[in-house]
Amino acid sequence: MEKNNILVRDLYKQFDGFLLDHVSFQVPKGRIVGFIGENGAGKSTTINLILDELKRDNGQIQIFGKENTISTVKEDIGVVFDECNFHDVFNTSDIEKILSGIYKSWDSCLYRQYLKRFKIPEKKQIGSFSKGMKMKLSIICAMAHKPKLLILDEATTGLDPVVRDEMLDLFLEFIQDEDCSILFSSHITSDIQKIADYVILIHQGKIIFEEQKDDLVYNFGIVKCGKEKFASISPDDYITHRVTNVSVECLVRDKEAIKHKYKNIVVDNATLEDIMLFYIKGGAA
Amino acid sequence: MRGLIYKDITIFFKGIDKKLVLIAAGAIILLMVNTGVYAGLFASVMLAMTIGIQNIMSFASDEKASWKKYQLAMPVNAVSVVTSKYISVICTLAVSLAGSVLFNLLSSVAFRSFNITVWGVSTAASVIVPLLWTGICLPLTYWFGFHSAQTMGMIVVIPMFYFIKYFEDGVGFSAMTNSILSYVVVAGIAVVVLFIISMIISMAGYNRKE
Repeated sequence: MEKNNILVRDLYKQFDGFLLDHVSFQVPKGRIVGFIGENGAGKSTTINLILDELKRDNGQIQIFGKENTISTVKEDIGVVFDECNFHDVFNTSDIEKILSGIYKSWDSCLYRQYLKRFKIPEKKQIGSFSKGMKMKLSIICAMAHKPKLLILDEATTGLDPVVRDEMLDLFLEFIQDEDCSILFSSHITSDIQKIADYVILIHQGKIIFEEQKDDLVYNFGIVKCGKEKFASISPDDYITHRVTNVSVECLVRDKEAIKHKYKNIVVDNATLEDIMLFYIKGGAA
Repeated sequence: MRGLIYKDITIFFKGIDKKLVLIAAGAIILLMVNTGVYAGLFASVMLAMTIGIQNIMSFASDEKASWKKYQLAMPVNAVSVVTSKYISVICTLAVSLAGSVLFNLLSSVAFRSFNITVWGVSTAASVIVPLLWTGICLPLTYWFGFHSAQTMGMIVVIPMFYFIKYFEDGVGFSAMTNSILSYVVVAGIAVVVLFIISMIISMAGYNRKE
């Protein structure tokens, strides 16, 4: 029995001025995988390759254990991009008629329930919706055909905190079915920190790490000390460091071990954003 | 495919630009007043051109919504996508045909003249013109984007303009009466062939990936 909904191995794609360099990762069943990185790091390119919207130069992509080029696998995938892709002249009934004619498993009752739950007006044209409403509708449409895999490419970017929170709760509900999973690309690391089980950091087309979120959040820490104290810390004990005007900050993999080893040292908790910034910016303050 | 056909037809009707309707209506009225017994024919050609333009405009709204990116993530293949587009164009011919019948009826009543050949040519034009227009513009849209299709669409207006001018000058229709039916048949066959070739080229264009 296949344990991953997505399996990516040695994915390679070259454009002018950009290289996706042997990217490998997996999205296990029943899990939410956060895909983070700065703009232009390769998140959307990877997602477009997974969805077979771009032609890969090399590597392997499997969805539900099948080649991603087989169009029937898309029946079980719900996709939300960073903008609403529905025409302004449509209303929610038009969308229902369109998508029910495309997805065999489209559930009109579920769609109507979601519309009601998220207070999406049924008669109004989409062109008159706010950005938040448009994105809610996109997410509802991605879920109304009961997919096993949700691929979200910056789907919560641009939403206000209240709407984002509603959507994150919906994703957590979706994942209650152990066969379902979510690949959630975002540069809003707080969203990923809130719901993801695993986190993948991509930078300049390369995977920097693929870790369990809890390991990152509970074990990683930031040492803050003066330059003299920093000189006493072994380079093996930290991943990277940055020098600020007043102190030195080091990203450490095991904050408890560091607290034990170095007395009188301040080790703060590291958020996902801190970790991402340390890895991406490295020594730059 | 049902969903995609519904989508294209809905965009066609809901996306009708009021300015385009006003311009077309103005041009049709002007033509009907100036062309006497051929009013129905000219109005039909004008409406058919408007249908062609509206079809092209609906492709533009796909581009505006980045629909293709979304569509590529759906369980539909290139054949379904392109075929549904062409089927939706064929469906819109109903509007063109209905308009042609209406204009010829009005013209026949107003000018107390009924000419079966004029009716036949009008009906043929109401089918041929939108098919010709989209047959040329759709592959361009799939290969080079909407803007090149829009430019080409405008170029297609030129022969249409000369066609109308030819009749307006007076001698055109009477000189052609004997052979007009064979022209229409040849034009019809040519457009059907063009439409099929256009569909194949469009599929190849849609299938292209970076």
